[in-house]
Amino acid sequence: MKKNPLNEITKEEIERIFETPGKVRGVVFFTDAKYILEKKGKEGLEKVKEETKRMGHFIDYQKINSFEWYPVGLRVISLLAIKRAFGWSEKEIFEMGNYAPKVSIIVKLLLKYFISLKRSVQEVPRYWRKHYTIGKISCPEFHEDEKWLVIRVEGIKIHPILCVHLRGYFLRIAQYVIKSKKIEIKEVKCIHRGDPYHDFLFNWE
Amino acid sequence: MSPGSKKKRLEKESFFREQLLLNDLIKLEAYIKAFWQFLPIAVCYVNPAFNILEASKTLEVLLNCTIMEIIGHNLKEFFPREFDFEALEKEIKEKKKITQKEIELLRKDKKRILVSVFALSRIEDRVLMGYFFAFLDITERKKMEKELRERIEELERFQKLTVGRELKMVELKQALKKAQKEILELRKKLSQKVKTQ
Repeated sequence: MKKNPLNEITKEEIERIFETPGKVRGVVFFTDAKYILEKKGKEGLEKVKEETKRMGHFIDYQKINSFEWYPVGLRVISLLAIKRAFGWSEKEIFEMGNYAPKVSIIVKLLLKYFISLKRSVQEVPRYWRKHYTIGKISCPEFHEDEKWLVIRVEGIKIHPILCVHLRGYFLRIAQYVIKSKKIEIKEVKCIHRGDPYHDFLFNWE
Repeated sequence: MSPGSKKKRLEKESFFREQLLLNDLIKLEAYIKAFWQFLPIAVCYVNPAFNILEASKTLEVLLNCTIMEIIGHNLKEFFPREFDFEALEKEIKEKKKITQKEIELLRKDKKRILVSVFALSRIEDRVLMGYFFAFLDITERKKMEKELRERIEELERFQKLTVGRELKMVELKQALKKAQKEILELRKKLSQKVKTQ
């Protein structure tokens, strides 16, 4: 039977994840907490906090500062803790990613750059740097007339759950900028599948 | 001062400045959040594609939605289907602002409410960043205005009737007086005739 990396995680794997070099903005934990509060209430958030404690890396979501830097591995630990606390599948993690830009202060501050698709594509590298100190993002394929583009994330290999979250996240940003009722996103290349980078393909009508 | 210690001092100063900026950002974030929570009127901020990026709590009440059912959605979704949203878009793009425009909004429960809309473009360095929209619920006010108008019309009709009746009464009184006078004169003539016979 094929192993689903989202379902199984060992203590060694958790430590490997936590020790990934690089930092992430606190806002990612804020958006996680906001989503949990919305869906599962205060008890749900307490459950997640307990899970992070069980995983050996306690996250006190209420004390996180959106603009401060935190270990990038903690970002994945937060997602894994949430998934384990509620038994969620990829679908819920994707929806959480899609929700995050709605409440992220950094997104709201940076959205002034996302006023047109062309401009957004130009600003995307700057956008990534506001959130992560590792990896880089680019747009190697941009075909507005044919209604497709590719966003590439390089230099970041932590855990596949992050890819699921990012898919939802990028889709929300696309929904803000592309005037279309039907936008689709697919991860067509993934470092965890042996590819050299993550490629997210966007199609719209 | 050696180059090494100078470098350390500069790094320390840079770190200190960064911490100050970080603290300011944190305070600014808290201020912005508190301000949007406080706003006692229904306000939202949309991007140039009219996707709602931020909304006041009061807009939740107005539209009978949660804030998460509002943020991320297009403003057009909260207007009735037959409403010409493109015309509104065109108007705000051309005039840069809208003041006291009366339109209907559609709540989550499909109830229509009449609102007075205010809108303002947000421009930075000559580039359009988005729009602020404010909605004042005038449904009750319009209802009261309608009721008041109906009462006034009713009173005017009543007044016409009563005035008409009054005039008729005056006419009748005058006719009665005239008739009484004629009767008196007739009686006089009759009695005079009887006397002479």
